[in-house]
Amino acid sequence: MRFRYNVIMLLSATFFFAACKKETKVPAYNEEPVISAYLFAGNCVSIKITAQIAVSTETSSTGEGIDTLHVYVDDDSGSHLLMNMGDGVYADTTLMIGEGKQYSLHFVYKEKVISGTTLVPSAPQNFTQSVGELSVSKIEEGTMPTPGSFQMNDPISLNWSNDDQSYYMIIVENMESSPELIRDTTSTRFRITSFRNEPAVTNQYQLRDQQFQYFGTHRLVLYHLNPDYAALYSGNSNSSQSLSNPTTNITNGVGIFTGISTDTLFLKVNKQQ
Amino acid sequence: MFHSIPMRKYLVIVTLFLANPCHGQLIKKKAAMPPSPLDKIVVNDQFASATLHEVYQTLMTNYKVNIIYDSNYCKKRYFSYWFSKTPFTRAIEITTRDPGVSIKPLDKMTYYIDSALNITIKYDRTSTIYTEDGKLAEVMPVQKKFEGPAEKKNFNISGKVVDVASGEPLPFVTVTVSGTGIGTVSNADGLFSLLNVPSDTATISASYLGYLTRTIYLNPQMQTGNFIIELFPGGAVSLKDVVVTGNRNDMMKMSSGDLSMIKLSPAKLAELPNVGEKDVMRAFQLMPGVSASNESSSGLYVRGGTPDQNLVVYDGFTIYHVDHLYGFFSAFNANAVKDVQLYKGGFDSKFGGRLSSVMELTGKEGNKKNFNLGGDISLLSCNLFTEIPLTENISIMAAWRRSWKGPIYNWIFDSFNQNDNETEQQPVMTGGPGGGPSDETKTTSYFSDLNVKVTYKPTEKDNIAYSYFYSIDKLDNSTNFTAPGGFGGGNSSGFSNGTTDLTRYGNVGMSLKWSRKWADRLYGNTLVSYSNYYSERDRSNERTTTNSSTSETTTIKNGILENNDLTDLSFKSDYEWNLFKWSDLGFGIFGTDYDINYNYSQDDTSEVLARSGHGILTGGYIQDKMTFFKKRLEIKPGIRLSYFDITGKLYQEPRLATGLNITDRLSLKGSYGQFYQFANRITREDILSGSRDFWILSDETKVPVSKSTHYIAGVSYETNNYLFSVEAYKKDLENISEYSMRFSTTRFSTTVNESFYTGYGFAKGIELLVQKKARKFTGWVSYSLGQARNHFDVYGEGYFAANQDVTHEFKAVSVYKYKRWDFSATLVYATGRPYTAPAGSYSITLLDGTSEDYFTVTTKNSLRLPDYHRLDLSASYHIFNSNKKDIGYMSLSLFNAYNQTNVWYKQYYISEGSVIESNVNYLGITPNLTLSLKIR
Repeated sequence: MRFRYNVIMLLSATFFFAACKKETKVPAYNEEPVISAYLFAGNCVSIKITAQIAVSTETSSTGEGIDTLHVYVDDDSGSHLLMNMGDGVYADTTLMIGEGKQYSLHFVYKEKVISGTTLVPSAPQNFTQSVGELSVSKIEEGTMPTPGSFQMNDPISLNWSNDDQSYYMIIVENMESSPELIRDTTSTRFRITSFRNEPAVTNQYQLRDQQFQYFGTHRLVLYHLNPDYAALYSGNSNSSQSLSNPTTNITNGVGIFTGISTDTLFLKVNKQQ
Repeated sequence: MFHSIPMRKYLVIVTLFLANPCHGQLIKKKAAMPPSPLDKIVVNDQFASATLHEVYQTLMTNYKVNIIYDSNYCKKRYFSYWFSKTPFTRAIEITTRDPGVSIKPLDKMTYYIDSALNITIKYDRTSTIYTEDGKLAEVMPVQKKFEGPAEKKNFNISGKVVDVASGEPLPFVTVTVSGTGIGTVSNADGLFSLLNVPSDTATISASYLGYLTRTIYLNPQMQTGNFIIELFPGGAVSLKDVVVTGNRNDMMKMSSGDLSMIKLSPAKLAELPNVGEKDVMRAFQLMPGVSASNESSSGLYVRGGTPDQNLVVYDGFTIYHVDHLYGFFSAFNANAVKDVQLYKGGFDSKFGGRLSSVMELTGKEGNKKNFNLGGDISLLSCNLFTEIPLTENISIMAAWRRSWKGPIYNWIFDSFNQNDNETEQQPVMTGGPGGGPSDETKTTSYFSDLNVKVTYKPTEKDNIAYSYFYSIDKLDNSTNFTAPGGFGGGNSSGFSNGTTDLTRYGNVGMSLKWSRKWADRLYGNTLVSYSNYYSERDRSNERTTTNSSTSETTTIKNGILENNDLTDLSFKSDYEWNLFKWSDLGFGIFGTDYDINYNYSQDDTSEVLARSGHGILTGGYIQDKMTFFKKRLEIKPGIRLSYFDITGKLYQEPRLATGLNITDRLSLKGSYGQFYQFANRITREDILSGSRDFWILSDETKVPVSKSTHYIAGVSYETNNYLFSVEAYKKDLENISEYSMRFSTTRFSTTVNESFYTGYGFAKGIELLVQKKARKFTGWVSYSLGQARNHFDVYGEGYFAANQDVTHEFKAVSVYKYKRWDFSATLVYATGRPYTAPAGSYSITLLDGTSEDYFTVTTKNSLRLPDYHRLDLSASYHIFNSNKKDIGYMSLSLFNAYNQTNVWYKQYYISEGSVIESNVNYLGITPNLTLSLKIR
């Protein structure tokens, strides 16, 4: 009886405490605008500016573009007012990005000056590939390769100069309009026409047969990057244990404003007869 | 009967032995060191169903020794035994233990050896005690008070308190002279000195957590040096109805001497529910003032402090990391721990280097009398221990534990890694599932630990102990993709691509301690220790390719490598000097050499962060415990001085504790103290997997030496069956640090911006405790009201709730004993912890067309998780051997019995222009089965 009495006491105490009211505050909506701008050497300036998506239920922002701004990009030739193209995109089709040049962005939003600066990296130097073509066996549905028949090519070495220890990234894209699968057994989630490596301080990358899912011509794009861009890959957390504002190079705003240079090679993946 | 019959200088020990299977009991007395002259006689006789009368007659005839016994009684008792080179006193001892076949049960038998070496054997039929269920009770000797004139007055007694069965010294036993204010506490080696005992017919009482309180009536024949007090464990079922007044065997005890100090009996932990292991740290989390709602940390959050502000000392060396398996279990094997106590604040000058609290663990020395072997097996792990009395002076204890990939381990591991996978997903394709290549996940995760302690007692006054502790956690969530080279010849080559996600961390610690009783009133121990904490994290992607034409192998590693290594080399020399009856002086010196390194590198080529700190902390302390008015008033002033070579400053930590016993039951206590901390654990926001901790050393600039000031007051009222206690505390914190790591945006370099924020804060609260200490139903109910606030300029004006802030916390622990069963229930309710919620979010489209989600925050810790509550249940059944000795238990435990969904943290995703919030929860209902057995 005594035991039962004690248990009842404990449980009632729990409910007593559980009934306590708690304060429920909701954090204010973050009004800083989001800038997304990759300044590719040789291309014209194009910048996307959006609002943040609201977490609070008090604001209903879904991250739509902000189209009412006066956005300027400065270079060594002066200040250029960009034209709004709708959906938060601002561009100047006459302002071509030059490698090695510095660009600054600034505009006023909610009475604050939002700004950012970047330097466009130099074009990649001495980008080479060990082979230009590759032959891979077609694997039909329902067939399994036997060890004796399974052959792999040597890796394709991609090399470039990286004397100043900067970040590079490779993106491989299939250029065919309706490419043919190398392995019909490949599950749907792996049927991708492009893949990349992580931005890294390196001067080479090795491509293997297994990375290609489709036959045809592939574009190998080497990106010369600023560390700002590399930080995008390791600057986010989605856990309430470790939420903090992500790394950004924008003052009074979030996102990225960074210069990029590229070089491109092509590789053909042929069907082995 | 407890009679101490002096044999010249011989030490006489009173010992209890196991009873025979029949209903009866035995109490005997044995001569210990040095050996009796009778032991020079060896007995070589065989008895088969002989009466004891025949046995004694034979022994007297063969060995010319006089044995006095009751022949009528002994003619009715039968005995079988084969003595082979058995020392004579041992043979006599065996006859009183009835190892053979007795038709009728033996009654209580004792033997005395007088100065003329006559052996007297007595029996007492009147005091047989049975338990409620008809089993023989294992009881302490019932001793009569000496009736006669005292011979000595105001003398000192010094000796040792040991466990009756194993001979293991018992630390921190309270030894008092009844009816006087005279008392003391045994030190870490079980040694004690009682000063100014009023007469040699006084009554002494010894009490210790988990053991029955022992009452000893002095008589003029007893020796006063090497006075051995043997205590009887209070865990066995057979004890429960023994009529010994005032004895208790509590699991938890609030210290009557020190404010804010709690002791726990590791031997009693098995009575509590558990997830997979009986756990010292988890048990402390059920105490008032220690947070219980953080399932993913074994470290203690004491009174609004963080686990790194709690000093954990194991056999004299500091342990820097106490977590196994993401913190769900602690690194301490309960089978290896003899004693553990927690100072929640205002701790003694002997301890320092931490802002909040101290947890002191003493490892078992091992059975000094008999070999022992035992182990536990549960759904989580396997646990083995052995105790080896190597020689008379050397004992060894070793305990080893290893998890196995059972259901509980997998459950916890998978729930963590499920989360990891979600956050780490990268749209990186480095290989595809072709025909032939294999994609496998390694399953090599485990935790393990080892405790070894070797104790050597070269003389009565010296004790040398070597203690070793090793723990490791390997958490491996790597996958490996291998494509073999073709066998068809031609242009083919091998290729492998592994995604590594490996975390390895652990401790290696050891200490060598020399304790010496320099004089009856002066005791000292000197210790050298080494402690290393290491943590390695490798989250990378490794590609190894072998070119068939050139046979060239290329390995490229991309990802994050993190390494923290802390080494602590320490020297300590501590002394206790009972200078006067009213003064207990403690003083000592210490020195620690810290070497702490932290490296963070990305892609095996670039080291983004490398910190290394080397510093030496030296100092000394002095403290005096003074008692006045028959111990009614206690004042304990102390000061600790530390010199830290990195800052080149001398740090003074004055401390003061006072206690006033208004009546025997009601006491008031208060304490004040200043504390500094030189090595800090920094919580880094790990982008990929939640927070990660690493230790760094304070320096003059970025990470200042942190400081806290404690103010504590308490009142307690204690009766035989209940304890009521209220304590209030306030803790001011200065120079606390927070850390943030940001990638720099400098043009062509891979540097990282470290930001150290320095702030201040406070923690305050009230703790209420009601403990019921009656026999069948024991337990406690506690409530804490607390507030922990910090301020860092970077987070704006004013204070914000610290991560560990819990406003209300209610805990109830109850244990009910019924025959061989122990039933227990623990209930925890706690206010939800604060968390930081995103204020906004956005996605950035990356160059390859995929997009990443980002979250921005405005106010820190402005929201609270839902309240935490949980009920755990367990039932244990004690297993007895044929001699009715408790040799283990079988236990069924139910963690989170009503399957409450407690939120651990929240995760956020962006989906179609809105933010989706999801909860990551703590463990649901988790059953566990444990079987624990030992030889003795």
